[in-house]
Amino acid sequence: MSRPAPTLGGMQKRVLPLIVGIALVAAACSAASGTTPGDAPEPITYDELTAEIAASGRPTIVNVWASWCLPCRSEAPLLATAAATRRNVDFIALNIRDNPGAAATFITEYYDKAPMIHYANRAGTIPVEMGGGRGVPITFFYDADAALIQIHRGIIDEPTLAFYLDEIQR
Amino acid sequence: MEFTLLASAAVAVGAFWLMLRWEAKRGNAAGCALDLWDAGLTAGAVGLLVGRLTSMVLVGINPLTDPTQIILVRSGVSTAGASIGAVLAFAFLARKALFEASDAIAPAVLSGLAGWHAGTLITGSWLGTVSDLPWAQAVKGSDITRHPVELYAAGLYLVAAMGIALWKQRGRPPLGAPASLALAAAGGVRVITEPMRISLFGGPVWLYVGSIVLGVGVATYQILRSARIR
Repeated sequence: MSRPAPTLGGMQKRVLPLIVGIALVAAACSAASGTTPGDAPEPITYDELTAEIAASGRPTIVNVWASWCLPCRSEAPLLATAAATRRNVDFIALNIRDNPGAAATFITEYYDKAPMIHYANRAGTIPVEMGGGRGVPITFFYDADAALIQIHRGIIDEPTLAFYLDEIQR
Repeated sequence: MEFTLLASAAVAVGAFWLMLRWEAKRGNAAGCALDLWDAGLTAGAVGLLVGRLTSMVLVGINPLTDPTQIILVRSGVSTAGASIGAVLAFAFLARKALFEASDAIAPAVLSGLAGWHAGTLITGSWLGTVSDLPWAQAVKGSDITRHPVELYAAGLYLVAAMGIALWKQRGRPPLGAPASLALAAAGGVRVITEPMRISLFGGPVWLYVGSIVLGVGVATYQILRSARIR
């Protein structure tokens, strides 16, 4: 005696086409998006970067990112807004382990109007030398005396960013 | 990858569960057909999703072109979107006995909020504006002392939750009054603590004030109506 063939339950019958539909719409929208690449960020070394932070005499944030990093993409609008509103703080965006074209596209997409300084470190060694690690995103907070106040690993949220901005400005 | 936010959420859910358990032994929600635990968690999950989507739209990330960003809750959830989403979801689930179910769940929701704010001890974002009060605290490595603002919020939410729970057990409040006062308390605690909170954009004060006005208004109406009937 043969068993009856398994059938989808009523709920699954409704949910499956819905999921497929949403996925198709999302894929179509993703394919339609696109921005014109700008200039790729200039390369920098660890010594040059630390010298620049020390010479600025201003509180500084160094945010390490890569265009292939989804969390970096997620926090980018917040950093762009903070850079635009906190003009007494220097925002340095350090692109690592990335290809220049993709990095330029990312900058055009997220940081086009933000007053930020862009650098690249293709090998990704600088955040390790700064005492952070290899993961991205990672954000370093320096006060006006170039003292490292905080290293934030992972996505930064609005309260945490606001808090450490307050710390480095005192 | 960090999981502090999950730990903080677990504290909130745990506080919500504890208050429901504590009140259940004292006759909470007798005769209520709605499963408050399931409804509360469902409303919370809907609120989280709506809050995340709202936050994405506000910062300029399109959920349709970047759908995977929805799961990155760590990068931001809109308080206004989450609150409105959760309240509407619960109102839908409890539509057949809205006031009864809302009264039953109100202290547990306030406890959950207390847990959420206390959970900032785990995420590390519990300090606010600079203060030299004796109990002010500094983050590790800093000599700047600050208000433990999220602990103030947690304490106030817990006091409100206990007050409303005891009122329900001993005072026989009119239908809908405990939930309305809980709504007012939720907004009131945020209004009190907001000046001590550090933020880039400021909190949705319109939402907090609206909650107070609506909560106090409905509670007053229900109390006066109940007094007239007696």
